[in-house]
Amino acid sequence: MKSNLLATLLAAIHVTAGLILLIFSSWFIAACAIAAPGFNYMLPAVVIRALALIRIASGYGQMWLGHKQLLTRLAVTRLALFQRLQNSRLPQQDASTEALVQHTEAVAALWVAWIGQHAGVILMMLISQLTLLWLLPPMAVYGWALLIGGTLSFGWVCIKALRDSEELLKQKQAFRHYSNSQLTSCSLWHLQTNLTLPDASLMWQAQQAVQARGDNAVWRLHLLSLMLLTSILLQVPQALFGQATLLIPIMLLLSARDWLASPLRSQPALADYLNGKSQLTHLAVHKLTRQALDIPLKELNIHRLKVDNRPLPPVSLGIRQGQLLLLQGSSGSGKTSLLQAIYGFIPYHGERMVNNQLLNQGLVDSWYFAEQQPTCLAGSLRDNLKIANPQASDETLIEALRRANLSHLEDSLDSWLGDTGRRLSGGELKRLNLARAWLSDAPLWCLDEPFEGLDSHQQSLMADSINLAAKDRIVILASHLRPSNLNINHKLDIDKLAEVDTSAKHKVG
Amino acid sequence: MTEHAAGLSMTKWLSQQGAASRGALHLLTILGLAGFTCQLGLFWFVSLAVDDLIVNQQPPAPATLQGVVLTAALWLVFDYLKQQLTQRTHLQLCQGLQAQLHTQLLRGQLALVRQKPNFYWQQLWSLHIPATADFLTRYQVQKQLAVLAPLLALVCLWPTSWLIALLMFVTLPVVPLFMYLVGSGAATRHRRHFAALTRLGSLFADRLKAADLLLVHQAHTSQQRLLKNASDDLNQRTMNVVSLAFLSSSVLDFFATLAVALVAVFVGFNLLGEVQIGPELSLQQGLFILLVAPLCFSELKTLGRLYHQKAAAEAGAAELKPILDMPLPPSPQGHFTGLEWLSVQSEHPRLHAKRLVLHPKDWVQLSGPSGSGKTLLLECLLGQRPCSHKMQGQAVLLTQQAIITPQSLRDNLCLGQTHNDEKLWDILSQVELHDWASNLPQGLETLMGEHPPLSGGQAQRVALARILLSDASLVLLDEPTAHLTDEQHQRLCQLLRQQLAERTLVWASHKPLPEAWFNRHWQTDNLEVISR
Repeated sequence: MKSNLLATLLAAIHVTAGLILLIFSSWFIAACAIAAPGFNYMLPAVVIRALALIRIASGYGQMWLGHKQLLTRLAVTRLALFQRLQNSRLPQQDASTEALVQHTEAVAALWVAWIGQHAGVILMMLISQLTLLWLLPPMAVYGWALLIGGTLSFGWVCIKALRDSEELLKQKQAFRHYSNSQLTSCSLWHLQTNLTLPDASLMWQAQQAVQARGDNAVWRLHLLSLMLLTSILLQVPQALFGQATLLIPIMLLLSARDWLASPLRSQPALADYLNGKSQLTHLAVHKLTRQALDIPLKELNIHRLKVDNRPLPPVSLGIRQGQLLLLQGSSGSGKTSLLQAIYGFIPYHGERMVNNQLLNQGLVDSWYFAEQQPTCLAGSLRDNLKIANPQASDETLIEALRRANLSHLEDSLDSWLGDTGRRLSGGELKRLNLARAWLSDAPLWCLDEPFEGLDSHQQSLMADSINLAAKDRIVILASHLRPSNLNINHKLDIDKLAEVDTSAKHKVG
Repeated sequence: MTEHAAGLSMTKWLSQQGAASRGALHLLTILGLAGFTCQLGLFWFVSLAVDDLIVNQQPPAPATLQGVVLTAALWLVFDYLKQQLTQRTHLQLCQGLQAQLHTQLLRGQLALVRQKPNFYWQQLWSLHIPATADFLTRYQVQKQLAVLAPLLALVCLWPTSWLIALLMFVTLPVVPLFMYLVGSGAATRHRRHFAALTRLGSLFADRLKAADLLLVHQAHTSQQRLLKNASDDLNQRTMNVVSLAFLSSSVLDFFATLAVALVAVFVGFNLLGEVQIGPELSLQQGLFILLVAPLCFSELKTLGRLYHQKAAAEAGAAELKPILDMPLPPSPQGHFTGLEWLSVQSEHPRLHAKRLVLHPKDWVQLSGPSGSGKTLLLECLLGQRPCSHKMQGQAVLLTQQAIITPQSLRDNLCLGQTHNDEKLWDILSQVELHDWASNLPQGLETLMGEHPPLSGGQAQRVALARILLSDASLVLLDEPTAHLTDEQHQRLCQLLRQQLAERTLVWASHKPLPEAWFNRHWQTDNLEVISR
């Protein structure tokens, strides 16, 4: 907080020193031009040089300190957000993650982008008005006019900027929604007769309106200041002729645009801050509860399990330790939802029971789930493996890589993976998930489409590894593929369930 | 050096994008210069008026006041026109780029779109196209102003005081030189930290995306610690870079401020008679010099504020250029009447075939390991990829996974055309979906929603119904049963055979199909197509 204020103060000094330097210099010139003998010119000359140095130094200081504060605030905001997301799921889309990144930036930037911008103007307005009242009372009316005009202008732009940014947000969402549905259905374009591709014109216009709001306000204030300037020149009272201080209001008005423009244009930063703040506060996260199982997992029973809005009837099934259950079905039939409900990722109706003990909704500690689209962290391969078992030694990691048929990566534990590093293929990612499963030592594995993207040889190797795991675990697979060497104890045909949507019990096992 | 050359070619490409609005862009520079000239004029007349008021102790001459009003009014007018023109040109440029993008999307369709995620395409619209327009209408215009305006200011200073004009003339080139030196120092530091900065910078977004993985492994706390350390490290490194980068803008501030201070002291002493270098000055001249001196730097300062637009536009050009410049054939029209192609070649990736023959009513089986070019060949036949031979006649494609839009079943079948109910029900029974559809609460008008009430196999049959409703005679199947279970695969294959026997068909499949259905076989191997 302290350095925030200091950075703001420096910003204010920077603006003020620049303007005072200009006004004081012009006064000095005028004073020199009409100087009576004995005029002490050395002191003002020193003041001028001092002001110049103050301006330069405070300029660098405010940038440096402001930026440092920005980074610190950004880190704090992000870490606080991350903390809040513990045990929560986010709507997983690139756009929403990107939006969160931007919102935290907007929230952190408030001091630098908005408060700091205004501090100089407020300070300058006060100083100039007091100076006018003190030195040139007849001219104070022009100061008042500028002050009132400026305040109204700022207030107006600020309110309007909030509305503009709301409109922009609306247009952005509308565009994202429409373009998403159009791009997703691009395989239908060649069949469509009157295809309208996404048009971003409205979004761009809204964007321009935000910018134009600031530009227009600057233009109006510029108009006001030039009109005031003209009227000063037109009707200077006789008493003030020959006074060098006359230059104070003149220079103030002449340079008004320079020092009013950037704070007036900074209003969208406030709108972004408010929007970001409210988006972060009302972030739609799905909070999950956790439960620890203190009994060994012998048997899992599912009773009339159903997920809202999915085209599947309630499902009942039972599976014991050492067995493997295959949820077989074509893509899109709802088997991922069913698997996620069994694992506890998404809410369900019905019951889950371990050894006849009823489970709550939510996750069970130490159960494992392999996503259909495996996540590769931006980090080393070691980081990516150790997430499943932070205590694991390198030998254990290599053992897990071998079990997951990734032994070609044994020597690459330190290589950086992810967008900015080595990219693993789809098949390698599936096997990375398997390696994590082995490392986690979970008593129950849920694997979503583990064979997809693997060639038949790799599929059978993967199936061998899974068979081995299923000997002393419960393994539940959702897959449309079915390698012939996979030892299946139970099978549930999701396609049939979806197509014959009856409310009859589906009991297997 | 190569990096530099790449940057140059991007800048060139960006400038070419402004060709359609060249006149407006030139007019923007002219309006900017006109505004600047009026500002100089206003300063001249104001300093005249001040001279009258303070030195001569009389109201300013009417001609002076007229000059003030005229120059002020013109300045405002030019400013306003420039703003309006900037906006209009900006929108025009955006829409022009969008039209180019639309053309490419309509030509490349699936083959183009599926190469990148939706988010990537949306960013072309929301970031990269506006960045290009910003660059052309704001940055480029300001760049010209930053060169021309100081020259104009110098010309105005010259008659007033050749000494100050000369001093400014010497200083002006020094400013960009200093900025360049400091800037390249910062760039070197940035390069030294580059890998760390990019890795650490993207860590937050990366861990947000990995929320589910962290949940599964209860790794939230350890990752929180990791993020804390990473952001401390990142902030330290960033400050290291920016503390030098900020010097670059301080250089400009330094010269502009010093110009005011030194000019003020010089002019003041000159007026007092303490300094006798250069011509003797009046208050009017002194004030004019004081006002104009910082103007020599003001446009350069504005350019510095817009500098990020250049970086954004270059990043945008790097994404837009390859897509807009991609040579794509126009979509084929009309009826397919057969083809006999010799030495077929397609670019990026390079697929080739010595001879391809396809006659009406042929049934072709297309096989080969995944990644060997089956989908590429189908995309060439659809006319969505640049290819040595031009496809004649429309084709329809059945993909691995059927797209069911959230609209009604009718909309999903018709796709913008109109068919009567009788025909739709007829087709639905042909694809064995009649019972399913008649059980829907609102029949054909039932909305499919986010999670359509269909199994994967049923969704593919809806897609087949669409093909039966279209009159294209060439049908391309890209592993339509890949995501189906064996049972569903068998059922869909039978149906496809029954319903499409009368059309020309190319069927890419991993799974075994009855040999007897096909009269031709194409094999892809390592991007080569062999007929057998």
